[in-house]
Amino acid sequence: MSILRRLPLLAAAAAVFLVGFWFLAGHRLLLRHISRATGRQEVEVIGCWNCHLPRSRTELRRGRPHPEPRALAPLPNGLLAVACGPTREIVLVDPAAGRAQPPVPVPGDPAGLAVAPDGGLWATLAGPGLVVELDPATLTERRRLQVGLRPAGLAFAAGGERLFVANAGDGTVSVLDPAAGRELARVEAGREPFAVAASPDGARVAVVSRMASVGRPDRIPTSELTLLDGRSGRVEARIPLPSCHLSEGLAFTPDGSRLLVPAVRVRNLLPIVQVARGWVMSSVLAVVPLADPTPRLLPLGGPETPFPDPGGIAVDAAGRRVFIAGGGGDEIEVLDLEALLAAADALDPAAPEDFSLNRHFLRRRFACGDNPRGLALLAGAEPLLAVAERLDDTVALFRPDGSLAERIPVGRPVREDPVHRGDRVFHDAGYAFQGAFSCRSCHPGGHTDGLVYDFDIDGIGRNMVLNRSLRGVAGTAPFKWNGKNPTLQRQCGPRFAMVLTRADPFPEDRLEDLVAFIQSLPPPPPLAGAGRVAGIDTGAVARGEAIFFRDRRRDGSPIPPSGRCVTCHPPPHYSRFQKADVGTRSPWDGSGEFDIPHLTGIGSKAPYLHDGRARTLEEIWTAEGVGDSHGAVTDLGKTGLNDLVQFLRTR
Amino acid sequence: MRTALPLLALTVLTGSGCREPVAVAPAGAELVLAAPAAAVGAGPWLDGVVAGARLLLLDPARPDEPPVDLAGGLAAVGPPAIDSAGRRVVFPARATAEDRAALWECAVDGRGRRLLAEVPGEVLGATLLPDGRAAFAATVPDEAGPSRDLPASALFTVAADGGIERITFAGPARDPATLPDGRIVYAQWLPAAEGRPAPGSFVLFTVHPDGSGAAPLHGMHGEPGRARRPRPRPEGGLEHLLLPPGGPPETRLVDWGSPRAACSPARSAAPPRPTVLPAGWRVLDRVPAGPRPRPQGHLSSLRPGTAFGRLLAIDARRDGRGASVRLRTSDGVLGTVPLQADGSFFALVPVDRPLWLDLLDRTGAVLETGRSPFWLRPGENRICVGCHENPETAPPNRRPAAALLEPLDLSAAAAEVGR
Amino acid sequence: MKLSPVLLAFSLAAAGLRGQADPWRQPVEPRRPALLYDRFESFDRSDGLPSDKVTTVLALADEVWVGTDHGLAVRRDGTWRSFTPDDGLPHRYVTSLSLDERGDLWISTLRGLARLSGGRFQVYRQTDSGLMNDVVYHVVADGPLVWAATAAGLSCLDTRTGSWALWDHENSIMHEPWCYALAVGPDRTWVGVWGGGVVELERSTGLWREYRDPDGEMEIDLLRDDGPIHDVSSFVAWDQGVLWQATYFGLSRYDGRRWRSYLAEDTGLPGNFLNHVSARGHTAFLAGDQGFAVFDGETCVRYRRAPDGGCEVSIWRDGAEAECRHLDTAPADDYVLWAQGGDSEVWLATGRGLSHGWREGEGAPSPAPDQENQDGNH
Repeated sequence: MSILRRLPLLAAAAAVFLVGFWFLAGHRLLLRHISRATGRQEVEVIGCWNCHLPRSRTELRRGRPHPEPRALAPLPNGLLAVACGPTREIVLVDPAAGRAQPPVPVPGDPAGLAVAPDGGLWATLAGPGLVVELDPATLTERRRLQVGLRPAGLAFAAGGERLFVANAGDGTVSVLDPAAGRELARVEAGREPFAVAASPDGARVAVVSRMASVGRPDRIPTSELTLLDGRSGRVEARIPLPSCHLSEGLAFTPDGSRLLVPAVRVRNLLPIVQVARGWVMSSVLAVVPLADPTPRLLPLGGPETPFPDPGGIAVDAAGRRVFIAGGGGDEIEVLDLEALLAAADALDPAAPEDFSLNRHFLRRRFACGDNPRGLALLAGAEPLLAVAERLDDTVALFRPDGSLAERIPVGRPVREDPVHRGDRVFHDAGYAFQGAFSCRSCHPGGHTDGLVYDFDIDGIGRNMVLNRSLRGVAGTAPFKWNGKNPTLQRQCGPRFAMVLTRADPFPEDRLEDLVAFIQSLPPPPPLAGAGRVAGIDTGAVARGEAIFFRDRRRDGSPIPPSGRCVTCHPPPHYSRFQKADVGTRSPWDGSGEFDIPHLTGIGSKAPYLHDGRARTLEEIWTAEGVGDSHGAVTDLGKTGLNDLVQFLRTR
Repeated sequence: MRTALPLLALTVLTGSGCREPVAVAPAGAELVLAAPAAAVGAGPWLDGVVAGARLLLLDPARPDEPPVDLAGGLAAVGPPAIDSAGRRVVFPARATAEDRAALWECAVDGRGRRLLAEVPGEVLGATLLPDGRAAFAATVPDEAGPSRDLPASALFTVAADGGIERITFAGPARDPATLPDGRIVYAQWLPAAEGRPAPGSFVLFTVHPDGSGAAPLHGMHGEPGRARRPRPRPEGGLEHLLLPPGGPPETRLVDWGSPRAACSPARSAAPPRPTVLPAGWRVLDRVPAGPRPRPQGHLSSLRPGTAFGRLLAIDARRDGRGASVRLRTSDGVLGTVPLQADGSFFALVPVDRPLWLDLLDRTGAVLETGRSPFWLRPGENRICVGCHENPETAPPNRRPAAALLEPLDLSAAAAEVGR
Repeated sequence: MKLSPVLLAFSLAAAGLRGQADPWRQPVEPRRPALLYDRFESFDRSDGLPSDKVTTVLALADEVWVGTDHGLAVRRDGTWRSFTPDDGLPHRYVTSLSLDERGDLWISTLRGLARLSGGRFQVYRQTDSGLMNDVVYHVVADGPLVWAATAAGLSCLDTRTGSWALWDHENSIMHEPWCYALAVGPDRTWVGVWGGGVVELERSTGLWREYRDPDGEMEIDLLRDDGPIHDVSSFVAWDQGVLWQATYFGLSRYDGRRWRSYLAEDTGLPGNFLNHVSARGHTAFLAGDQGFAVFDGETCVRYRRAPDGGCEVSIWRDGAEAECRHLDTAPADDYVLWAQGGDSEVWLATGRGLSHGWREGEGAPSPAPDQENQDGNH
């Protein structure tokens, strides 16, 4: 018989052999391998990919960068500067001519823009942590200054003698002397300081932070409005905005007596059983009198008409109007300034949020392009409001009555792709009941708002869980703290609509786009400066790395695999993608087993553990740890724990 | 042959050559319900079928064309509703004078008319839901209404397979319409209470299509008279009829931005009377028929077969007073739930029946008697601020103490009390 | 022997370079006349302080901060305002205060460290940060760094990076981890360790040095000027090249080459039980259980309450009392826990209130002493 004829017979024999080997010995060998590597005896369904990652688990989805205009700055020469972050360009738009000049590349992704009294254009570049001065006509770089991490908004004060830059990445504000070209001070603000505004007289500067400060999960979350002296940069006041977060803009009233801060007012401490009437969140304008800094929160939406994701704000002193961009509903609200301030003065700060108040100061709402962000008022014969329509890659010019004067594309046209379509879905509140909120409303920048929520799918007051970051989730299935969702499509599918958005689920094609967008989000960068004190490497990171990968305690005794950090958190994602019980079950949890979180970018994901009870990395093992239930740590002492924490901050 | 065969295959496979185009109401068209004035009388007509009425599709672009009578041949017809696509129409009707009023459906051009749902009572009005189901109001013969003139009624839904489910359980419910956010807005009868003179009044409520989350609509507290026939306007807002005591009916406009006590009179002039109507006929209802944006859907989170719902109140006290709440049904008291220090309580309650809550002090004396019944659906989780919630306000952001406790089970007691 | 010119040049250059970060090579101060305060006023609970037992004081240009055993207080425009744990203070017992470069106030307490900024407290505890221990005896803000001496070791927070560095007896030269006080100088941090003398960290290299009492005797100073007078350090201070060590058994002074010891018997110190020392130039301000004193290494001016409620001022030179004066007013108590002194004013934290002394010949109470002296350090 030729070999070809014997082939079927040989194949059958091989199959019989393999099956027999598996049942007789292979399965046992596999279990022994897994048990030795993980220390687990009762091995649930586990695949090779849990520890040995295929490429698909490590690569991000990529989309084509779009201009995505975000910040605007009117220039003295009549042009309008537009920051286009993803394409690393700044575009000059001529409103009178109705067209944009070719984009000019800059050495980083521009986030914020400001015009100095001498007419110079300054831009923050988020990636490299720079602020650059540009020639307003040619956009050529004049000079650059190093500031903190991921600078965002900026503003001049003290007659242009000071420049304040909000460093969203490290929670600080840089106080610069632009003439001398140096940083005078770096002041701590809230969590993710985002927008900066100077009072009309330049004597004061206000910075609003986007994220709520990390606190106990059962406490009302608050974000911080920081008031600084416009010359020295000294902090004058830290004003808490109760239950408010996600502010991306602020403005002083024309007389400088009050601050106006659009914000999302969240109700994360209530079980989510309905969306109507702000039961999950609403949008407010915080009116903060500087003389008595108790915020008055006025509703931006009506009883049945939410105004999701408020962002940019512009105050028209001459017209006594306030314009606010609603990123989730693609609308602009026009508020009467006097009526607004009167309503704020009459408001009892302790009273419940009354949506019907909105009628007293809302002049109109009008539709605009997709995901409006920055606003700017253009003076001229006909005053115009410029709106950066981020997801349409356009800048629109509206008359005060809401009619469109011009819509100008910025940057080079880019073909639509699933990631960009998914970005649209992510920021579109139309998929939630009454258009009340979007994905961004809980995941700003694809990250997490750091709050704990109670979904009613399994009852009320049960299994309250921390909102997890979407950044870097590509390849980290399964999802959800109980690990029950094998794909993002399941995570964001019909059950999501049933328990959160309370409306139709995403259509299938939109769901795929949304997943593509989420899979494109890179993990948060590691915290710079971990283990460095006064610029000197303390060695903590190296020691911490040794602790993370160790298999012996300090006294030399062996650590079983189940007690080693690397067992459950192997690189590159620092997760084995299974569930584990680390002794953190609370009386309100149905189970003590939770999906092992991946640790990439862990330094910026506070709070920690499934219910957010650990406010810092230290607390995972100090206040909220029990013995060695979460890895062998009891022999480390404070110094060893600090080393471990410094190492984790570099992941 | 080479081209004919593929064509034939394509036709057979797609059926495109065999299917008639689906009719869509043209923009600007409207459904008009009209009847001889003698059949209706001079007083306000609100709902229910009218003998001899006609249901016409009028297209203003074709004023000279004879309109289609969707109800031709039926003995009595009631108010219509059309889906957002402008294709499908539902309406109550009697096939003959001896029949009960049932729910009928047809295409907007009148084709495919059929009986959709029949219940023991009289169907009074209906609306179409974005998922294709219909919701309708019908009388409930084996329940007592507030008066002889006001029989018991409820809202029901009917699915494509014909399955009928009752979704309201607390007194007469009429005039369902579908809001753009997918909720059903309807008129709910509430008995006399503070701010609501005897014998009671119709108040506009909203409810999800599965019967969960029933709540007063913003802007309706303290409105004198009865609110009936809410109709979302294509351009936004809501119109309804207001029947002040002893006064003529008014058409009111609820602007979502209006404050609590100021629904404004509808300022738009009444549309001209259709010329096709004979003299002596009265227009009872006009419904825009053209396509409009589809309302949002709603995925129900109810658990059919579950005998309880969860009820959590953030603060049931009145002016800080109160130590417990007493839950009762029409058959009697189910039990008492103590309030936590922050005024919250958490209980399992029976479903699909009217419930009342009384506020008690430490001695058990009644501080406040609940007059407005409510209900929960199977497996529904319901949270309220308190007994006197202002529908224009948002709740405070704080975790009710009772939410972290096991709920007190009062659901099982319902079976005992009912005996 | 002729020195190689190259070697000489190199040595001089190296010496010059070393001098830039050398805490011991500082300009020599001319000898000052004896500092005299001739008027005192005091504040206690009746004035608005949260307690009579004042543990620390930090006088600034336009306000005076005070720590007590029952909270924190500040005097602005003549009015006192208190802060307690209800306001966010981590614990009622305040041990020290320090102002950082951004104008934020750092507060050490017996249960955590706090920063008061813009009217809000941010609290650090051993369980939620790199703070070594909640019992914080002393905090010093130095540029972007915040040093905390705790009962279990030393912590340093870099406020720019959010990173902590920690030292105790297991990873440093410390004999034991009970760190009672700090002093910060150019590239040096000194720690007064309870039972461990003084340890010195050279920050740029991470090298530690230890200064211990050579004779090791707990009750006596066997040999004078052989090193720190005692291993039980209650406080340390440094300014312009001079390190001071306060102990419960006398005072020590180190200028980088030579240690000197001082006892009450032959110097005029207000007792050998010293709670606190602060330095301004080469002058030390000493707080003890029997009064307070100003001492420059040669002349000691001691202030003690007199039976008539006034103050007995005793000036010592060359080992003997040279002069004695009487003042009509006196500090609130002889039990002084903290002294922040200057040319014309002194602020004292005592067991019976806060005392403020000044030289009346200079006019009414003037602005507070130079801020360089605010921590009792450089």
